[in-house]
Amino acid sequence: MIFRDLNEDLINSLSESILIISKILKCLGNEKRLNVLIYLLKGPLSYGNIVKKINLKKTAVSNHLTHLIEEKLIERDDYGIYKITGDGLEFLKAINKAFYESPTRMKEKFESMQSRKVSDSFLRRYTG
Amino acid sequence: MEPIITDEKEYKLLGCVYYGDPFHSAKGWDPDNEIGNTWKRFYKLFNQYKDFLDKAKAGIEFGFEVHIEPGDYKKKKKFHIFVGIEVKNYDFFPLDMFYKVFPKTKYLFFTTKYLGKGCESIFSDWLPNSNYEQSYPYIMQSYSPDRWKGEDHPNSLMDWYIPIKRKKENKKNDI
Repeated sequence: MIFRDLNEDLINSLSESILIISKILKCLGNEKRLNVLIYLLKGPLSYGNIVKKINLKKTAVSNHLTHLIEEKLIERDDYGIYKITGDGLEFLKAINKAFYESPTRMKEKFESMQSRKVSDSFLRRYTG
Repeated sequence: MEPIITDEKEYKLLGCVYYGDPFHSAKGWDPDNEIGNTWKRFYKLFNQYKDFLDKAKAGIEFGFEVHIEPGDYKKKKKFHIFVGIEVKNYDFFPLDMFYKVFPKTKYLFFTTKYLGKGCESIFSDWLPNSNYEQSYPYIMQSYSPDRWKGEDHPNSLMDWYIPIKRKKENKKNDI
C-alpha cells in the first residue's frame, strides 16, 4: 500500500539519524536559542547586539551560542559576527511549516474564521 | 432559572439534516414543518439502527436540535436544521445519517417551557450585559429526560445552548 510505504520510508529515515536529530531538537527546544535564530533571520549580529536582544547574562548567552554552533545552526566569522546557517534556516522553516500546518492549528484557524454571532434577522425567529 | 455558563465542550452529533426554509409548509412549532419532518426522519433511522446507536450514544439527552445560520441567510432566508443525538468517537456510522462536530466552545445553558417564549431576555438583556458574546452562528436546543415530559405535557421544559466566548474587553462585574 502507498500509505504504508510512505510511513516505512519515514520510519527508516528518522531511525537512522535519531541521535543527531534528537540533539538538534534539544538545541532548538529552548526559547532563548530559538529567539537567537529568529533574530539572525533579519541579518548577522555581533555578540553585543545578541546580548542586548536576548536580555540574559553574558555567560548564559555564550552558552546558548555555543550550543547553536555545535549543532551547525549558526556560525561565527573571524570578526565575531554571528549569522544563521543554511541548516538553521531550513530547521526554522520546517518548524514554522509543521506548526502552522498541523491539524491543531488548522482547526483553530478554521474555527476562528467561522466565529461570529447569529444575525439579528435570524435571532428574531426566537425572540419575536 | 439563572443561565449557566458551561465549560468548553465539543459536541459530536449524529442525525439528520435539512437545509432550506423549514416553515415553507407549516409555521412555527407545527410538527408538520420541515423541523418536525426532520425529527420524524431521525426517529425512523434511530429505531432502524437502535442496537448500534444505543452503544454509540453519549450523554443522557433524548436529542438535540441545532439551527445553523449560513453566511447568506439574510439574502436567501434558508438555514440548516440538524437533529440528532450526541455520540462517542466511532470509526463508522450509518450511511444515511450525518455526523457533525461542533466547535469546542463554552455554552450559555438555560431552560424554557416548550412552545413558550423565554429566550428573549437572554439575547436582549443577559448576554449584552455579561462578559460574553456569541461565538458561532448556531443555536442548540436539547431535550433531557430530567426536564422533557413530552410535547403535550404542560410542564415540559427544553434546554438551550448558546455558543459563547468571552468578550475582548473586560467588564467590571465578571459574570
